[in-house]
Amino acid sequence: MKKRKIACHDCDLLMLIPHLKHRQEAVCPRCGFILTRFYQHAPVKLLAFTLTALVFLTFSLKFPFLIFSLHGNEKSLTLIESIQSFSNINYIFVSILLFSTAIVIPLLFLLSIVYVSWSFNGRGLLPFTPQTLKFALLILPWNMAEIFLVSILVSLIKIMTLANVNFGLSFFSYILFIISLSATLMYFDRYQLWSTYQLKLRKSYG
Amino acid sequence: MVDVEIHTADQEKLCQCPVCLDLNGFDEQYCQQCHAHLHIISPNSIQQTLALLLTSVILLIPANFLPMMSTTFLGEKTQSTILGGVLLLWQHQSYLVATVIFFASIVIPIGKLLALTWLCYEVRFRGFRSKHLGQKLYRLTEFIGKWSMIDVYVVAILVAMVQMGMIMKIEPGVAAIAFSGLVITTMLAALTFDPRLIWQHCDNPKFERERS
Repeated sequence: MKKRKIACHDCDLLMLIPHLKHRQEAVCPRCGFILTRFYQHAPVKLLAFTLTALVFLTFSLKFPFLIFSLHGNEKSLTLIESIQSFSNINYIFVSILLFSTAIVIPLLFLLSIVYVSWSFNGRGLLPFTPQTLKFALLILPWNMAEIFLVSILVSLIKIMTLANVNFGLSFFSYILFIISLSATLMYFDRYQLWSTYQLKLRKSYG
Repeated sequence: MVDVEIHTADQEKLCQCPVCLDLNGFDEQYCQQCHAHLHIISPNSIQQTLALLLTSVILLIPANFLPMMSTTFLGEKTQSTILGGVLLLWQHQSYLVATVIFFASIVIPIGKLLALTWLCYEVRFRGFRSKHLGQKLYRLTEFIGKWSMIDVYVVAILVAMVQMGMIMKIEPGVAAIAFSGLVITTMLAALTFDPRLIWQHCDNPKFERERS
């Protein structure tokens, strides 16, 4: 692959990224920004973890998340219900925010990666590939799935004194989803993906 | 090793796309590859950051003084603010959770506001004497910002779980809206701040590196 000249994202210093070996990373010499990390077979691993995360995410939507019992009353709660309960009482804004940051944005992010990987694997590029990749990068800072998980643990401790709480199947599925999502993010590299895109584009024009 | 040229993209009359990292000429307004909006380094861009910071300072007041959640237990209604909730948890001896919530909903938002204000001040008036510190602080604010959402999520989960009819009921308070607004505006403020401004007045990158 041709050496590509880029500027550091954080400090604007111009440099050429050399060929990297497995697990090597290129760091900006001036400000220490990690420009790119190279992993062997990164595209395959990226797709694999993305699909895993998608499967676990769909599982965590369907089944009870937490089972809560107090004075003989038992109530099980799914992920969707927990967000719906907010919209019942005129807190639409907060409910939309929570729903989008904990479920919709991770979901859209993962689906965009699937589309982009699919496009890169084919002979020619699929339509809207750069737009999808750009979309994934734009929504990435708003992904708060891991924060949602920590919040669940915090609220469990808060409520432990009041009632018995048990974990449902979805809870474990959500944990596995978070793990796969972090693995996906490890292999998701802005520089590598756009370089692949440029390579593909040049190839398809002959 | 990375080959370094002793120039920044700005000095070469190039502007890097923030989305796809492609280099564009100064006269382009949109990236040639991905059509993202390009902006050259300009100290005036901190006005946007400052406006968002001001909004978050205003939101900080209702978020901290209005009730975050109200608990009805056997007909008795108690309302608690963020700080009240932390103190209550501390009294109930759940020190870990109290510390987590204290950091997430009080220390992080205020610290983030102070850090970004300091960064804007340095850019505008002092031209950054401690560039590495500024850079580290900026990365920290960018990374840590979204963790302050914890408290809003906790309220949401509690509201959803505890709907026990007459026995017990938890409802969200107005502060939940103000607080989520606060998190969004501070995150936007961190995203609009241009980190390239920190390094703007540094003519010789290699020299800067040896000195540090």
